[in-house]
Amino acid sequence: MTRTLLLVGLCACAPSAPVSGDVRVVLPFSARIGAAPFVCGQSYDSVGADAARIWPTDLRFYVHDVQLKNDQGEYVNVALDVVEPYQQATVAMLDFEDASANCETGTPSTRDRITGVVASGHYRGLRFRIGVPEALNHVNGDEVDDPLNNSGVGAGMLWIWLTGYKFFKLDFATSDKKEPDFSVHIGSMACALEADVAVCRNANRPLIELDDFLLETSTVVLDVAAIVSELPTNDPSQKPGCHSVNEAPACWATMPQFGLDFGFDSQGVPAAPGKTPQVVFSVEAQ
Amino acid sequence: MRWAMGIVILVGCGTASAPHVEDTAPIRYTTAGGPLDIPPLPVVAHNPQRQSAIELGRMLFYDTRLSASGTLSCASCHAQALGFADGVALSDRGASNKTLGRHAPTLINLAWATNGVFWDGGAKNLESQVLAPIVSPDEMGSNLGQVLHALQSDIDYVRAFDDAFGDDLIEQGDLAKALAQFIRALVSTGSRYDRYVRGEADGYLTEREFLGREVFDRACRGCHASDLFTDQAFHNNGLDSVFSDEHEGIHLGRARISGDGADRGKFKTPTLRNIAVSAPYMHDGRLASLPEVIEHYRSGVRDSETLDPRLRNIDGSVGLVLSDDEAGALLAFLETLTDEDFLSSASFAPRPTR
Repeated sequence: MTRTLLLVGLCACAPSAPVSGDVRVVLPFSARIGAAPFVCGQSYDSVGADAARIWPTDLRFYVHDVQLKNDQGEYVNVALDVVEPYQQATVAMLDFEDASANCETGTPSTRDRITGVVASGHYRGLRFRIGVPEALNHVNGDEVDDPLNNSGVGAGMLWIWLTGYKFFKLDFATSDKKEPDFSVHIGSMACALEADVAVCRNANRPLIELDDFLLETSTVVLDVAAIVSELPTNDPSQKPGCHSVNEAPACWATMPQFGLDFGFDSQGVPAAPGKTPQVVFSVEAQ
Repeated sequence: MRWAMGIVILVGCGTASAPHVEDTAPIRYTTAGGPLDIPPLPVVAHNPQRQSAIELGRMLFYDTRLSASGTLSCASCHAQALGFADGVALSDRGASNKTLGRHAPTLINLAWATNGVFWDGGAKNLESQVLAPIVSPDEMGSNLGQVLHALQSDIDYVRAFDDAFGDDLIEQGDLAKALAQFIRALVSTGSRYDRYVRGEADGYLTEREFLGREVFDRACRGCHASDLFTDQAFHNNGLDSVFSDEHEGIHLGRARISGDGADRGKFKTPTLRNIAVSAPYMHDGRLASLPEVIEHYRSGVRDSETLDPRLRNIDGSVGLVLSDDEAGALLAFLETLTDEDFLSSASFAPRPTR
C-alpha cells in the first residue's frame, strides 16, 4: 500500500511518472453493438431476443479494483492515474456517448481507456469491477468530485444517494422517435440507512475477468447486443428495461449477462444465476 | 394527556341535544399552556444552519436559472401558499413535459426528517436530494455545470456564496448545502392547534375540533405521530393491493429502496401540517380532497400482505371504523393544522427585488 499511496500523491495533477520498478499502462476499451461501433444517432438492427432496431442514447460506466494477472497467476493492482474528469485514485469512468444526436443526457467528452501504473512484470489477464467503490457510492451530493460530480461527466449517473450511483448506464430508443425508452441501469439495491450510513444487501458490482488480455496488444470490447441478447427489446411489457429491480423480468434477462445473480427469493436464492463467465466483455487484438 | 389537564371551558352552553355538533357552536377550548410534542431539532454537523446560507438557499430556491428552460424554479412545484406542494396530482410541467410518477411532496419540518427524504426515503438527506430535481430530465432538466457557470457570472451570487461559505468560486457542494439549509428552515409550528397547545391567547379548538383530536389520537396518531404529525416511517395505508414494478419500480414504495418484499406499497408518512391547503393527497396524488382521504381510510382500504396492522380490525375487516360525526370532527381538526404565518411568511417568499 505504501507504493500505492505514494503514486496517488505524485499524480494529483497529471498522469504519474512511474517510480522505479513500475510501468505505466493504458488499458483501451471499445464499445460495439454487435459488430458495429457504438455511435450516437446511428441505428442498429437485429438487437435483442426479438431482433429489433435500436438507437443508442447513452453508454457510460464506472470501474474500480483494476488488476492485471502476472505469470504466477496473481492479480496485481493497477494504481489509477488521477485524470480529470474521468479518473480518481479509486474509480474511473468509461464514456462512449458524446452528447451528439439523440445522446442528450450525456456530455461532449468521451473516454475509452483506463490509465495507471503497475509493478513491472509480465502480465496476461485483466480483471476489474464495474461500479463505484462502496466508500464513494453513498457520499452526500455536496461532497463529490469528478467523475461522480453531477455537474460534470457524471451528469445523469446520480441515482439516489441511498442506493448510490448508476454503475452502468445504457439507454436506447426502440422507435424512430429516437427518444430513449429502454434502459439497463446497474447499481446497488436493497439499501437501508443505518446511522446516516447507507448499507446495501445487493451490491451488484460485476467482476469482469478477461484472461486473454495482453498489455499493449489487447482491447477490451463491450458488446451492447450481448447485454440484451435474451431480452425482447421491442416488447412493451419489458419497458422501461432493467433498473436493478430484483423482481423485474428485464433484469433477470440482462443482469446475469454480466455474471450477476438476480431474481432473489426470500431465502436469497437467485432465480436467474449469473453467467459464468460473463458475456458482455471480451478481448480483441488492437 | 398533559393537554387535557389544562382544559378550560370558556363558554359552556348547550348543544347537548343536537345529534351533530356544528363547528359554529360557541364552545371553545384552550389550554393553560404546554410544550408541543416535537423532538429536539436534529443537528446537521456537516452543514450547520446559518442565516447567510439560508438566505442564499432562498435565492436559489426561487431562481429559474436552475432549470434548462429558464422558466422553472424549485418553487414552481413547491409553492409556499400550498405548503410547498404544487396542487396537482402528477406534474407534467417539467423540461420533458412527461407526467411524473409521484406527487410533489410538501416541504414542511424536513429538518426532522433524518431517515431519508422522498416518498420512499431513497435520498439520504437534503444535501443529496436537492440536486436530483435540478438535473432530472423530467423536472428542471438542467446541466449542473451550466447552472454553476450562470451563477458564477452573477455578482450577487458570487457575494452570497462568499458570505455563506467563504469562497467566491461557486461549486455544486455549496449549492446543495444552501438549498438544504433553506428547506430545513421551513418550520411550521404556528397553526391554531399549536397556539391552542401552547395556551396562547388566540389558540383554541372548537368542541367539534376537540372531538376531532380525540378521534385523531385514537385512529391516526399511530403513524402521524407527535406534533410533527409523522413518525418518519414507511407504511402501506391500503391504497393498492398489488404493486407493479413498472416505471423503475416506483410503485413498489419503500421496497424499491430496501429490496425487501415486506416493504411493498409502503411510503413515508407525510406530515399533516397545512394539510388543508396541500391537496391532492397520497404519493401519487390520487385523492383530491381531505373528505376523500378520510373516506379512503373508512371504506377504501385495500388489503394486502403488507397492509399496516393498524388498519386491521379484530373482526378481520380493514379500515378505520369512524362514524359520520367522527369523520366530520376529524376533518375539522385537520383544518386547525393550517399555519397561515408559514404559508405567507416573507422569510420563506422570494426576496424582494432591489
